[in-house]
Amino acid sequence: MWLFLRFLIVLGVIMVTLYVSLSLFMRERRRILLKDRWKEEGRHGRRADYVREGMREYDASYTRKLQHLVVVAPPAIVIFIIYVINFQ
Amino acid sequence: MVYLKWSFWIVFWLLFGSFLHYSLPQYDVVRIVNTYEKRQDLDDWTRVFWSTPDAQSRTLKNRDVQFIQALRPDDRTIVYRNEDTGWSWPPYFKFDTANLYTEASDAISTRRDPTWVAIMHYGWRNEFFSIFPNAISLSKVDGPDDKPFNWFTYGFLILLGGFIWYLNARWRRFRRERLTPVFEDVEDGVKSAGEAFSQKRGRLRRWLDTWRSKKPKRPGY
Repeated sequence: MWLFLRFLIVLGVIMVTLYVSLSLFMRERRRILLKDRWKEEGRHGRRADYVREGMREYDASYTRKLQHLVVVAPPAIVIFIIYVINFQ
Repeated sequence: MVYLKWSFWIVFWLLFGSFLHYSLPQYDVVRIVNTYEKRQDLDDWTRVFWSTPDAQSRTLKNRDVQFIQALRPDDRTIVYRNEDTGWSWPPYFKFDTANLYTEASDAISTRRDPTWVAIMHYGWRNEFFSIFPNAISLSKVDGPDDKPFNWFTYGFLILLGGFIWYLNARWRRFRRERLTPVFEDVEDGVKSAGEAFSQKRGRLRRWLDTWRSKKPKRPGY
């Protein structure tokens, strides 16, 4: 039982660290990109509004949603391995 | 310095390679001769080559381990241990040791009427340290030459190679675009500081020279 807990804790810590740093990094990169684009497009309207609108689009994008794979994929792989090794 | 660098990287890649060779799955086509169980002492440094199937097995000094004896097609012997890897390293998540033991016992065959099986395993056999590869799973094959293709290991190695190549490329680009300019700046700075210093020294020298007795440079001028 302790080994299982240890496994869960280690995997969880690694996944959460990766996920948080990846999503923060990608978010910040997108924000910088939006600010640059606002400048290039000729500074129409307020920059904050432009960035907020762009971030809303980003939150709905596949780039954002695919990041959940960092948390979803490892447990799925583990369950797949358990099935292949023990029940096939 | 160059030798130091090279030996460091050679040792690093050798260790990394042997770690992969130990942990990744491999297939053997063998004929199973017998299965047995033996009390195994586990309190010296070779403990790292045995599994930790459950929590209490970490503190046990010895315990029973199942083994599978087999012969390769060229009659060399190979003995596998049969242990749960459980939730520990390497991540095979093997819990069906008893089932595998049953399958292996069922697949026992004689030299006259051989049954060939492919055993997926990881680990090394070493006679001096008394360590054994761990059998993971077993499947019947048509004959001694019918070795399953090792999809997982080759796929994993290709992916890993691609990942290392990518990291290396990123590192080179980072060094070229971020580090080299900084170092060049520093170098230029040192150079101009050196020039300024030698100019100062020139001035100091000239000033010192004013204290010297002013002799005509060419006698008889």
